[in-house]
Amino acid sequence: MPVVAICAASHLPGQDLAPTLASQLGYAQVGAEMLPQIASRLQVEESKLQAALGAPKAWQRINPKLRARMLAHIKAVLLERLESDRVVSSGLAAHLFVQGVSHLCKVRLIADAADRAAVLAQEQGLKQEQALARLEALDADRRQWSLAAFGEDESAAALYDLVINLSRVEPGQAVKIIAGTVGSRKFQPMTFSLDRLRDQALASRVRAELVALDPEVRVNAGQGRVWVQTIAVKRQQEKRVQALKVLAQGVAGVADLEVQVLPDLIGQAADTMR
Amino acid sequence: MTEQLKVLILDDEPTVGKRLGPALCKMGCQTETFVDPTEALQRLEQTEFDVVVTDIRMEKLDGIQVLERVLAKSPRTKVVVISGYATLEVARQALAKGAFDLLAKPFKPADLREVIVRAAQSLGLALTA
Amino acid sequence: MPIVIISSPDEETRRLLAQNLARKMACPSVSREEVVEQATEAGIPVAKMEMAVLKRSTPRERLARHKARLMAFITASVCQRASQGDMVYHGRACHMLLKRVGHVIRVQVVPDPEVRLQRVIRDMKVTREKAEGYIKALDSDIAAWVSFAHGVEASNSSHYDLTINLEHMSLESASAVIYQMALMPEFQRTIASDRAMNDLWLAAQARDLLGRDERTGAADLNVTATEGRVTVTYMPSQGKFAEAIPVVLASLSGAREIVSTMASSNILWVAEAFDPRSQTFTEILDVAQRWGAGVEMLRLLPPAADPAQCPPAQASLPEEGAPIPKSQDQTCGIEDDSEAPAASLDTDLAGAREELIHRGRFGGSQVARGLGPEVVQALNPNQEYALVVIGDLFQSKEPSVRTRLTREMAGYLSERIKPPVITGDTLQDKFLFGKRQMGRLGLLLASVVVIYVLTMTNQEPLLRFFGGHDGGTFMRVLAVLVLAMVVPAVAYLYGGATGLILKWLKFE
Repeated sequence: MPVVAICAASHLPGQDLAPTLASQLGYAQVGAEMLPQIASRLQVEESKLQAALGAPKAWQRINPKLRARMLAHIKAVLLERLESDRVVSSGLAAHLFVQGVSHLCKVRLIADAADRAAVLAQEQGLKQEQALARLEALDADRRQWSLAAFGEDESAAALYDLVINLSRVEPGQAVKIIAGTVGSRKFQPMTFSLDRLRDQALASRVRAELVALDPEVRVNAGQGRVWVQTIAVKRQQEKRVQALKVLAQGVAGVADLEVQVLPDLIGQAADTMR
Repeated sequence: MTEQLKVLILDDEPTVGKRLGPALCKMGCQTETFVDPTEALQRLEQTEFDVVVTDIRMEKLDGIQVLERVLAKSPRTKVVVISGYATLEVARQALAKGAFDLLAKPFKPADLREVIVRAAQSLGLALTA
Repeated sequence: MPIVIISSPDEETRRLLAQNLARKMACPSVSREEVVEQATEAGIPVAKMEMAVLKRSTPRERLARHKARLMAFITASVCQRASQGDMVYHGRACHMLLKRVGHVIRVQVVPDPEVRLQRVIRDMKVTREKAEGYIKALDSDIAAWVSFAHGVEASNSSHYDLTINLEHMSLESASAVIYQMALMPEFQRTIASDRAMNDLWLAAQARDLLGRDERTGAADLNVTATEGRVTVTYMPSQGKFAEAIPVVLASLSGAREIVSTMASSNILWVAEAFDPRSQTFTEILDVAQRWGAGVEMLRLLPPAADPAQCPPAQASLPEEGAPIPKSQDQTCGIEDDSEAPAASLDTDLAGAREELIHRGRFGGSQVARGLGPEVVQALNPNQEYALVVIGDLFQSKEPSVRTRLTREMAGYLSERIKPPVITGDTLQDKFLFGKRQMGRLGLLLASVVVIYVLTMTNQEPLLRFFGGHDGGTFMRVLAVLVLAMVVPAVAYLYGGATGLILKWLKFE
């Protein structure tokens, strides 16, 4: 069955659509409730993880190694969940990193700035003009964050299959539109797209294990075969390959493993200078 | 200037040739005007022109086809496309196919003279508007 | 069923989708291209505007007028067809046309990039690389056109009700989704939505008629309609068109009443360069809109070192808004040669001028070279100015010198001309209400309240003191002196607070 990834703009009028959509489709809903699991894997406080997501300043303050681990684990946990099919995911940026999976329907929910500002104004006791300015800053922050974390501008229409304006479409009707779209032939799982999702999930699981050792490590997967690419100085290459192999082979689903090491030219140059 | 700039004007509306021809002659160009694209292409087969000024929308053959045929025969010829119905899509297509410039109608003969001067310069010929 | 408006940069994608949907809705599909062709035949130089956008040449005053007329023509044409029944209309950014009409679904379509690329390769017989270049350039041109025509970013999804990406969805599925939406109750025709469309239609017809007529073709007019009442506003500098407006609009059917009003006065903005994105521009426009005034721009250039190079002290820009040529049929689009307008000084004015025309606040423009005396000379004696704003001048000088010279210029003008003269940086303080004004209002109100509370709670001792009952002559003299000092202070605080409240309420 298809999977749905919802990305909602902040402070939308009405209730969260994801649970209604999930119940209408008979799907499971995944979202923020997965954060404790991710936080425990990362061994960081959940509040720290939550604060870092969507806020570019908090994100930049985090150590780059931890940032890489955070992203790797979010991807691994979410892809594992999406792989199990019949899922509506919201709030975990699946639309920003799941690529080429044709049975994933990416939906963005937006509303007119005035309506969103009204929600924000009521929530925080602000005036409409102040709320509008605050909203603009919040949107800019989210754009900046999505660019910094995934290299994508989350407000770009081309990232989604559907963008629905909730100022004009009733939430119940929006659910019907999404359900109707998901039901169309184009979003039915095909062997190729299922394989693609399985491969991405496996690569993410492997990368989540390796990223503590090498934050820049690249991992690809195809039909149980995993390719790992790392950069190391000559004297450390053998050791690095062994360490990566041990970690990667422990990941469920890895049938075959190949580790490629590229020479770290800068590191080597620094070594010879010593 | 040792040699006259040879300009062919093609527009299925005779008034266009009648108004543009003398305006270009005044600046020292040798002009020939046509209303039928087929006849114009026949003439282009016989002789090489420095500049071809062609309308886009014509009944027998459109300006883009004329542009392709002219450049296929003589890549050095500068083709100036004129049209009262030019859209961004058509204009970009003409430029992608090698048009030298585009002029949207209505325009003044002086506007065309400016383009012709630039075309002459790019051919290494001296001409003043 | 509602009217469905489909916007996309790719003509073929939107055409195919519109045709597919129109079959489902059993209604006609109309393209921007058809309407634009009719506009061209009606004498609007659409191709000229398109080429100006393609070449990114500075939009000129006349182009802005043509644009207003084109938008009116398209709006009127779409409304006229929509009044006959359901319709699917498609264009580059047509979602901006019927903004306030409830029974309109605005759909943005993102074309499948690969399908589009393959089509260009096939149709234009070019390489993949050339096709990519063509698409990139065309999309950039269309984005520039949308910005020119509507002042918005075409890709901004928030202007649409629905965005569909065809990269992962078939045309048939996309059409089914829109059809499903068209059946929803929130998009059905209501009396209110019909009325909103009729008003838009009426205003567009009026604007088109005025643009088409020789007597009013060169006027910068703002036309609105509310419940059948058409209001045409023109700037004071264009009073010459006043008589013709009702005559031209006499043939407009469906209007309950036609009101033609002149903006009450002009604000003169003196500067070396005019940036429509600057803070000063926004503030001046805000004040002009509040006062119903026009904005006249005076570009003041530094005095020339060589007098021979000086343009005349007051060089009015060439009138570009000359009536549209009588018949293009007679000339087949080739106009007569005339003196080319020497508008090199004009380029720095163009952006701001176009924006003012777009907002219906353009009150004229002129260029002068010199200092204060030249500004005094440039003032139109027949024009009532409500305010003179000194913007960015003396750009070649150091910042401190620039500030000093600007203040001196404001001082010089204040002594010589009747309307109030202020510098651009004080506009917010004097006429608009921002955070600083809010703080000041709080302070003044608090002071007034404290004075009132103290007075009310100490009435007896105050009456004794001011009545001179507590002492001899010295105390009486002291009471008079205190009174003389306190009354103006209270008046200042009270007056200041009241003035700010009125400004806040935009009631001046």
